[in-house]
Amino acid sequence: MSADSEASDAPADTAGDDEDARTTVATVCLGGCSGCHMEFLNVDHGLVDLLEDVEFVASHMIVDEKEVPEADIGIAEGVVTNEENVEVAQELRENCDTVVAWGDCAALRGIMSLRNDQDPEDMLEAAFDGKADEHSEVPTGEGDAVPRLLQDARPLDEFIDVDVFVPGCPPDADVMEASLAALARGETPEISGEALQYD
Amino acid sequence: MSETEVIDPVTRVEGHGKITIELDDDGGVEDAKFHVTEFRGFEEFVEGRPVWEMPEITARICGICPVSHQLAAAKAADQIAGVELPEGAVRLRELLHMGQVLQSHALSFFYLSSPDLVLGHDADPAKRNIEGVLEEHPDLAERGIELRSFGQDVIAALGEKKVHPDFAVMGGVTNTLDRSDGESLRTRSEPLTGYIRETIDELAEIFADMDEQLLDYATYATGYMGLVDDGSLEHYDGDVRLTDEDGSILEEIDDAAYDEIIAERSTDWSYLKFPYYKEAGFEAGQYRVGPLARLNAADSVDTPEAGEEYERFMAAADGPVHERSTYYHWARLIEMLYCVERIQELLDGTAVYDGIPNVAAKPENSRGVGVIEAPRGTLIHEYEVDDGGAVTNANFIVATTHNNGAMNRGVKSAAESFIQGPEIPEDTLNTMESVIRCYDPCLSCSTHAIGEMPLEVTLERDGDVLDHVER
Repeated sequence: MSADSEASDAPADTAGDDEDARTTVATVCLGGCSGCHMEFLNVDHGLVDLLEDVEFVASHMIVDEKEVPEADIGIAEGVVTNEENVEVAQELRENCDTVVAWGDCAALRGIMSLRNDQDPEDMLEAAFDGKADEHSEVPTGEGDAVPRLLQDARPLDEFIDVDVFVPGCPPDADVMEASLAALARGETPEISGEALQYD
Repeated sequence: MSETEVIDPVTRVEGHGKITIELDDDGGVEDAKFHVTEFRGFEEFVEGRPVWEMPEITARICGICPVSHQLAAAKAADQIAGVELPEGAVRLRELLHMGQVLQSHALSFFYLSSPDLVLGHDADPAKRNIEGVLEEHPDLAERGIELRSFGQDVIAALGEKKVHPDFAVMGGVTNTLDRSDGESLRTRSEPLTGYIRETIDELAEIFADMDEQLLDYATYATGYMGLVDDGSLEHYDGDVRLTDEDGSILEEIDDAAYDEIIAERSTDWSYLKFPYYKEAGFEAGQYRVGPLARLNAADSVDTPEAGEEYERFMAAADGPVHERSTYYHWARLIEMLYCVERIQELLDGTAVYDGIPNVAAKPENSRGVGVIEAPRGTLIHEYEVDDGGAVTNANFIVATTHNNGAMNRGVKSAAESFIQGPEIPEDTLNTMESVIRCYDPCLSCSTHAIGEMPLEVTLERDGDVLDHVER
């Protein structure tokens, strides 16, 4: 059967659920390593308690949802490094009340910005033409097979307004959990002292 | 002109991988491609930097298996320094690695794949996740959380952090294990082998009841690659073995000679390259890596309980090896058992507490290659350096890359099994995803979508949309 109806129903299921009083959270991964998402899962058994107050409406580790749905809190890991990341960042801003930059890449631009002193085309040429056999081609992002790289990898707040910054590579799971809990209570998380990491 | 279906999350949240399927005029599948849509550039931007920075920098390639990249880089850097590591350093690195493989396999099986296996491929997508498993099968989910947590705590006991620990360095590791930490981990490890064996039994029942088409939609012959130590399963250090489709040895080589047997090809439609066995050529030279491939390539598994489960596993094969992609899950559980037993053996020894953690190291040689079995398969780091130790060339082949040919073949095979004509069956999306999910592609090493790749399928003819499915 065709699943057209499912496609149009799916966002309504997640966005318009009045009976569930939990704070809704959507997380996305831009140009990053998923390490922030991994560290967040280190709340381990605490996930069970957290799910009482917070509903993850999108998060690639734990939920089967492909859209950036409407949510109270939108969290982004990773630097903005290609055209697709820009699109996802903008959707996150449009659909979420509060936007959080999670980790050094989103908050500060992070390790991938080491590429910024090179021209993307030269880099692709070297990686795909220079390090593969003689029948090889270079994926340049022409057409729509793969998204095109931006000139530089840049932090989230150069593309959209960001409300909360949680630095760290990755931020400690306890810091992430406490920040999320504070936001769910409608407070601005205070990250200072040992919780404020730059690594 | 033929029709094209696109499983395409490009404008969506996890758009780092997509699938396109071309149909011929009769509605049959002509071709199918799995595209990886992100490029991060580590191979290029490390050039010019000192080689001793590589373990710390390249760990950031991946938040799921940072330890694997750190160890591969450290092993390559050891070669550049020309040093032999003391026993303590080797065992501490292996301990770190076993924690890594365990936690990563637990994530893959319990968090990402068990929803399909225990709730069903066609379960409500809103429930088909770890929260759904917690509700329906709380014992299974709690076991998975504990196994992952334990693996992460082994890593943290050595490197302080669980994700991106800085522990392995050129010439060894930074410190030994605190004895009280070791003892408490040892005590906590006791029930874990039981958890895993119960899960293996449950999985065997699930497979026994599974529809044959679902079980076999990605079954095919390829070569297999894995590290071995005297023929036994090995993850940290050994010879690179490549077998043919029957498990017969084609090559067994030292790390540094990898480029004599493997070549890579890139295409303009994916950021992920296609490695192949040089001697057989691009088409015939495809091989698989990862848990299934490692068990197919090895002759034995040398810990007691994993050894038993390995024998049971191999006895269940239809031929000399297992060709079913779905059995990656079974192999992954056997490896988790191996990891727990190796962790116990290492904690019961003295080297991790009293051994010498590192030796002085400075650049002496111009090339180093580090090969390790990352959770998803063979990981290769190669560096060339100048006289001062600055990197002049770097090449990485990550596990997911070796499986690129096999994943593409699996996608095509699944498309041929499940897609006929312009109507897209409702459960096709998740079935297509689950082909990819068998390989547990570490899409962070190339993308990030891990296993729960969100998908959109569009079926087009000459630019007109005929059908559209998403979830």
